[in-house]
Amino acid sequence: MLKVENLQKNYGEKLQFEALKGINLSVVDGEFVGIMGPSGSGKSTLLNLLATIDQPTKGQILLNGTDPGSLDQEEIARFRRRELGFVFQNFNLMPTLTVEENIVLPLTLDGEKISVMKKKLQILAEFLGIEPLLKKRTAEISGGQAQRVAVARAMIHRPGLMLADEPTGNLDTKSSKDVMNLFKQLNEQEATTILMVTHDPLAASYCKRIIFIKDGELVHEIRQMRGQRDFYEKILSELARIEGVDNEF
Amino acid sequence: MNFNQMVMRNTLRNKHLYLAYFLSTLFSVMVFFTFTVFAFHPSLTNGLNKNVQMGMLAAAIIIYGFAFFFVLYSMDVFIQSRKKEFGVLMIQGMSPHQLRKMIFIENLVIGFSATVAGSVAGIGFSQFILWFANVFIHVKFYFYFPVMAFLVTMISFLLLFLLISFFIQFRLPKLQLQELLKAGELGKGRLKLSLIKAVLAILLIGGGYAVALATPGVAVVFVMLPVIFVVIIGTKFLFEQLSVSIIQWLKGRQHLFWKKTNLVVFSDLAFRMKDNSRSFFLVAIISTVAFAAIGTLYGVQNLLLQSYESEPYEFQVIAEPEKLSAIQTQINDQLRDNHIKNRSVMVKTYYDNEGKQFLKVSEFNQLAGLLKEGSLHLSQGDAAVQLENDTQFGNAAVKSKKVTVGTQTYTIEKLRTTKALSAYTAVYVLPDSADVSQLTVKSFAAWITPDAKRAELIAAGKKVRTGTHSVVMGKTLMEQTTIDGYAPILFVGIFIGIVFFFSAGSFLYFRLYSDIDVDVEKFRMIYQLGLSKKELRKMIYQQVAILFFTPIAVSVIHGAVALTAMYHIFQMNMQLAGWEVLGVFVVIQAVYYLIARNFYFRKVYHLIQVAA
Repeated sequence: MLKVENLQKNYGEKLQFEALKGINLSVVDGEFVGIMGPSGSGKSTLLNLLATIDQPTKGQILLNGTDPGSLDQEEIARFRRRELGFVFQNFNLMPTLTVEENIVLPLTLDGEKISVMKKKLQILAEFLGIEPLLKKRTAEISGGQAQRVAVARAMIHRPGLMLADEPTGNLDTKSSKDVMNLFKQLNEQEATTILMVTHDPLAASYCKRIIFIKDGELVHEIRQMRGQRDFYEKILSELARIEGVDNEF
Repeated sequence: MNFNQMVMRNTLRNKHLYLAYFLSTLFSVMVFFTFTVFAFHPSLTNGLNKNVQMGMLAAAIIIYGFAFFFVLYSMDVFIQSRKKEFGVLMIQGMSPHQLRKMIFIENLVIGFSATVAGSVAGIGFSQFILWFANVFIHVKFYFYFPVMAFLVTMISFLLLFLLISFFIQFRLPKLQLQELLKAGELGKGRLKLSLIKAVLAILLIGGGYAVALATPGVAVVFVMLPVIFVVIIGTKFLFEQLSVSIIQWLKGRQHLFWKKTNLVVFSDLAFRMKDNSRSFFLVAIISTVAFAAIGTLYGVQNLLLQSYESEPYEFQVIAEPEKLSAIQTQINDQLRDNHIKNRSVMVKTYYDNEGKQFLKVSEFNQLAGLLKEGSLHLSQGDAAVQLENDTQFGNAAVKSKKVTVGTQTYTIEKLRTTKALSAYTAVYVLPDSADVSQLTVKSFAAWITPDAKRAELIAAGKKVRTGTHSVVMGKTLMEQTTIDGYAPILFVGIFIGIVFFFSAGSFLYFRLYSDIDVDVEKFRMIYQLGLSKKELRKMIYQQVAILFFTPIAVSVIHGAVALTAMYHIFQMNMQLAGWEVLGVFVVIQAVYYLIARNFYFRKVYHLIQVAA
């Protein structure tokens, strides 16, 4: 479903900085993939390229057979609201809209019928357990609730791919677990394909597969085999290895 | 929720954000409406001559053009402050087309409500102007219901908002989504400075000033346009580059920059200057235009009135001796009928073929006595005195050493400064013994009315004018005629001036207000570090002062140079009237500043308290 070939990204004009040095990656339908790596490793750059927020210097992205790079502005907008769902560290909800209005925003932009919006909203709110929040304004809800709303907004249009950038970065431990359980649930019950950037090992342990990036290159990849606890420990040791902690002591 | 509902809700629930923009548009509508109320005022349209009506029309177009840029800039400022919001919407799949549509709908909603609200506010504002006109420049207008003004305002502004909605598309941020989303999070990056432009700013403005001030007399009119052009460009560079360079330089001086609250005030000042450079530029130019317009109108009126003021006699007439007595009777009758106490003198004056004018010394002394000037004595039989006037217009007559009357040559022993006779041509006082039989004789009669009331003099003046078939004009009547003739033009000029002054201040305040979030953020951080309310107030006052007075200072200097050059046309230096106009403007801005800073401080302090 997602195929990335030799993806490169340079920043700067005179003094060029290679943020990504040729990434190859493929994600199949229904996968839940985590991207980890030290600060400045290029993981956010990769996510931004996939999210069509930024354009690659070289290489290709194919999402369900479409290369977003070949689309014009209008088509990219349509692509985003139909094929992609976003969850951000800082939620990025519209403060002027109510919770329910925020959730249906992608459908609104796509010109969906009101009755369809309502129906989809109801089903999703029930599934995510956020019905009591629907009429509230975003300033009235907690961080954990806000992230649930953001997940709902990312899901309502059944995107092909859900992208999450440090979704637990601004949350306390309990809210983090809630949100990650939600991701897991979505992935397992709704077969949503999820790609998540994180440096929180606990959040990462909910994934099925984790890709490690360092200095703009894909360095390693591990899969969950024997349960979440085992996976969590594997992640920790892998991080220690990649970040070079082993050599420090 | 469909798209239009979404846009409407987003607008209506975000009052805080839209308020500054709404108020600035409302303000420009109000100004335009008020002006059209006068432009279509029955007593202005019926009685006025073509020129004044053309002037009103031109003024309306200027105000409309100004409103256009005012709204466009406000809109632009407003849009630039919403990058993050646009980013969030675009990541959810809003297309550029939809973004434009959203802005268009918003603009229409705000524009329409501002047009209606502005017209209503305009009714109130026009009352204020009526009162002002009545109290300060003695022009009376009665109230009427301004249907035509409503229509014109509605149509003009709906058109304006359509146009702006169209133009604003090109001003939408073309940044990458990534940057949009991070807007407001990151620092503002580094400023790029252009030394060439900073130097050009000094050269262009300095050069413009030098040319304007050094050009003599009427030639000022010819250098005016190029000078204005050069100075405008220079001013643009001044705000864009030079101001920023100066602040950067100040920041380099640690004993200044690292001192108490200066650190905070200066920290983002350079960026603010850069961000505000266009607003500053607009405000400075508008204020200068207002200065120049008002200063010129007020100055010219003052000059005219002064030229009457220097005239010592209420009535005076020169005529052939046989015609004079009839006129004299007329004037005396009128003065008697109006119970005006007066004194008068009649003398004979003589002209030669070259246009020189002569008086005998005893007769000159009669005139001098009437004006309580000292009398004149000639030392010997062949001595004469040339007269000159002490006016700021200078003295046109040629000074000579000797003067010949018939066969006798007189030596001019001195110059006598007097008001008794106007001395534009050469006027000489001769001994009583002089032989004047070869010269043309005329009679000159003059009246003074020391204690008379203005109204009586005007009434008498009118009758005298009619009775003498306009040969004699009363001084007071001429003055009043000038004031009356000038009043509508002066009114229009002063009105535009007031509007521009108010606009300049409001524009600055709205500009300040649109940065309030950044300020609250900044000050909250410092407030939590430990800052007293007093220090906070001081910092905010400083910041507001810099914002208010930077463009004002520039425009006052521009205005002073422009008015000085204007007076050069009349061979004069800067006059009191010019300083008065500049002074009043500075006072208005100072009052505006005092009000604005208090409002702003209270608002910021409140928001800090709420958030902390």
